[in-house]
Amino acid sequence: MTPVPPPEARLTDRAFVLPLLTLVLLTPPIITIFDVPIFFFGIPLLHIYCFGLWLAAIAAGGILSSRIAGRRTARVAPPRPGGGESD
Amino acid sequence: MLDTATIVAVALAYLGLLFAIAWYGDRRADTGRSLIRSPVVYTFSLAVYCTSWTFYGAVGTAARRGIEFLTIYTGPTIIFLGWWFLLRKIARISKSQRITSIADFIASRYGKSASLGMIVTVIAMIGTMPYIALQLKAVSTSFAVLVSYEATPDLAIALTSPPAATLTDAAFLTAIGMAVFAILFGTRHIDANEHHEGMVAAIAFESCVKLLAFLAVGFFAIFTLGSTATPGAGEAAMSAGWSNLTRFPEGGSGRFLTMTFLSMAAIVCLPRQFHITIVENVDERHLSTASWLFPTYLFLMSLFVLPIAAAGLSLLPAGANPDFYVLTVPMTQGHNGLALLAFIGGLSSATAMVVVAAIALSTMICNDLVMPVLLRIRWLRLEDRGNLATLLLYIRRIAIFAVLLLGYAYYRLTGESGPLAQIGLVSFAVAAQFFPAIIGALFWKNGTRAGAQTGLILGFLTWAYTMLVPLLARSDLFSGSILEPGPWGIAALRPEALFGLEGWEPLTHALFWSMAANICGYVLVSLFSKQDTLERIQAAIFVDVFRRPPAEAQVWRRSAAVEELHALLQRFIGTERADRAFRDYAAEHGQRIGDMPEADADLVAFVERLLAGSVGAASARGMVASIAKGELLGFDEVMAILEETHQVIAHSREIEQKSRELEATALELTRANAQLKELDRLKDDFLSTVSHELRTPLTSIRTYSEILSDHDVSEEQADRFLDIISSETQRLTRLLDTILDLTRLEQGQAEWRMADVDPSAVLEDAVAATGGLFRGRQFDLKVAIEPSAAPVRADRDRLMQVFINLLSNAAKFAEPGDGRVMVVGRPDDGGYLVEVTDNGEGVSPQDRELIFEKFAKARDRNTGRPSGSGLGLTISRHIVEHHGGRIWTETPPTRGARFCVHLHSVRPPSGSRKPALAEAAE
Repeated sequence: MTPVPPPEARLTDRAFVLPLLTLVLLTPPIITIFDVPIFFFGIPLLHIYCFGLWLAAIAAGGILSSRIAGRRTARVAPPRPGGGESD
Repeated sequence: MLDTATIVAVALAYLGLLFAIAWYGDRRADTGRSLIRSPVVYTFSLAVYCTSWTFYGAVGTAARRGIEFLTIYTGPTIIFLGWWFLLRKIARISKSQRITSIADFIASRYGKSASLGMIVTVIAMIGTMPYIALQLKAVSTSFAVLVSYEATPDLAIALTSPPAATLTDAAFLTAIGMAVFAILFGTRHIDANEHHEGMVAAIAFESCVKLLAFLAVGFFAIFTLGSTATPGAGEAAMSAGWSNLTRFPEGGSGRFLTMTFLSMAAIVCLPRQFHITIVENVDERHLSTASWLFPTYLFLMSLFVLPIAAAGLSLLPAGANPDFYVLTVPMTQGHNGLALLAFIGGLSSATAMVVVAAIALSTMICNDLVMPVLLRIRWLRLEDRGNLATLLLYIRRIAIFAVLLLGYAYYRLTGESGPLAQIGLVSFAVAAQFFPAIIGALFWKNGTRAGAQTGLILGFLTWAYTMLVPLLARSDLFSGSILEPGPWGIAALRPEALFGLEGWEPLTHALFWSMAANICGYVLVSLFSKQDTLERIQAAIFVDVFRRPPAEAQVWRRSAAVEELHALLQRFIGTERADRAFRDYAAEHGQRIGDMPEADADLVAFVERLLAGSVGAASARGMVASIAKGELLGFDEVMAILEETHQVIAHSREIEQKSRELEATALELTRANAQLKELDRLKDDFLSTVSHELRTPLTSIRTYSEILSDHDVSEEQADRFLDIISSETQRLTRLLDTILDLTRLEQGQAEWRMADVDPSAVLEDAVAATGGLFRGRQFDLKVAIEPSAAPVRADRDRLMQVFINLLSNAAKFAEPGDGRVMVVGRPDDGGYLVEVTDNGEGVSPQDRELIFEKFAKARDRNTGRPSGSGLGLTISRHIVEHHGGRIWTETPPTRGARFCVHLHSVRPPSGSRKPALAEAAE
């Protein structure tokens, strides 16, 4: 068995968890929690929650993809297409 | 005031601009300076996902069902955030297999099956027609809204009947224009990798335009909402609509989940989306950027949906169609220019979708529907014909026209039924039928062709029954009795309450049953059917794409004449490209094509892959099979190869592991080497210092001896010189003794006479022995020695040597004239602590370690008094450390230096020793 270098494995795990977490947080029943008549500057809390969470997920995705890209270019000689990467 | 001529002129000018951009993009690609090799352009081209349905319809959905409109955007966001697992894998496979369409992808995975490709193509066509119709409808309706708004602001009436079917019908003209565009830029030539750079550049441009148009309307809506204090006519609608807008739709959880799932499936499975994301992808790294940039685009697109909906609800009469708030909100305020910009945005999204969908579909129709049939018709003898590339192009061009005409026909037939979103969702639900087969293709090696076929057909039929039939029944194409009480009066078969599943929202109901049928069919049939050899090998290639899958050539025992292969290739991609491909292949394998009598399995597979890039995997396989002789290996042999491949993989991983270990060892060796070099340098330093130290007394001895022998000196002088010579000789002897002593200590050759020793007694003896030194200099020596609680294991003489060394150092370095030295000995921390403090210059912090090094006297301070060898502290440290103790220096509260020695006791305190508190040794 090959021990995958820990930082890469952790990145991959995060890349797996991020979409799942986004899915759970942006669908019922979670979002119905915020379905209350509370308004900030005339904007309902439900919408603030949805858009805020969405933006946070995008930011996390951006950081993650730049880390992954950084790790790939950091390799001195990338293996042949498909070589050695975990899927 | 907007008149028809202005709108048409602007729209035509805009379309002309698109043609120009596409033409320029193609020209740049031809000269090798591609416009689209940028992740940003790639991301914008992905935004073909936002069709006129989302451009106009999102606001409509928001006005009707509030936050639910968001699902259409969050689904793709989730898929793109998870690009590392799904899209990246599809892209990698498609690149290596030269996949041309989603039908090709599925067919290729399940054993390059022509029949599966046909099924997927037919389903995709049926699913795309309503979608194209939807775009045409959006264009013609938005056109009608722009022209007729002044006359009939109450648009509910204006839009119920379709405009007359004439040649000047906006929808028809749009369809023709789009067909021309798709043909010009989608079927210029047969490419080995299906890249249409000009088309992609134009699509990316359109995405910019629609985003800007939408943002402009959004800002305007916010501005208007802020400035109109009195809602006026729409107040009633506003209060009713407001709760729709702000609250989660009542009982809408199921539909919300369904739509999220649908949009997730759609971003992967819609033929046009597959085409633009996967087939037109030129660099896999672009996906990494798109993973967050595309969701950002969607975010911006949806940010102003709610303000526009709110503005529409408050400004427009209650009957106005919310699907066109994007146009009508600016018009209520007389901003016709902005409305025109919005119209162009809508036109952009419609044309982009239709063009890409038409190109994607035409590729599928040509490669997976028409070519397999033509190849099967023996009397056409297609393999022997000259230039087949032209034939392919014509098939595709005709297909594009056919697709658009069918879309137009669908639009004419179904008329104006249903809001935009409803039609779009029907298409999404069809595309979702591909989802199980694709996920299985990527992650489940045991999915079989039979399983995929069954799943697709069952899913599609269930979709047609639960979704299409009710739609048609409502538009009076079917008898309404099929809905209620059910076909032949059987309630269990009601399309909208299948098997008595009542009370479900129709979309969720349809999706549930069709996915259930699809997945069950796929999984169950796969479990009970067998894969043939090609299927098995393709499954391995797809699922293990990141783990060096086996090469396809390994499983074929086939060969063909090189000329025949070349001729076949040339017919599809032209002589020049075929020649180049063969040359590249030969160069890569270090052979010359001319020397090969027969093409081996590897070359045959290479040609088949190239062909697949033009005509699809299934057709390519059929054509190559007609000229290549040979057979697939048996099932067992294939299994052996797969097994072997896995062993090779395991082996190579072991080697990687070994090489990593070797690297680590090499690093350690390098470090050890550096250490050795450092030691070597220290040795050289030591030698040169020793020589220097020896040279000084030797020189003076020689000088004085020479004076004595060569010159006449008085008796008195001679005595003085002899004294000097004698003392220098003694110094030399002492120095040599010390060096020998140190060498013995360092090499561990010193003899140790270890015994239990009372450290306080040794210290007292040392003080007594050095008492003369202090007395001679009239120093003030204070001694406070407490008895040791327990003896230490030590060599008494050596310990004595250490203490004497410390004491004589103190005598040397204490302040001349007013020297004060303090000696303390006391039990401490399970041992015995000795402190010798003087009031000299002290030791600067940076010298604290240094003074224990050889010859490192703190010369800079006590200048002119370099007495001693400079080895005393070094020797002391060796001795103390040999006893397991510690020696160090610190700065006392007053000026001066303090040297401390700590020695461990051997036993816990045992009985009392003689009380020996010595006062002032003077």
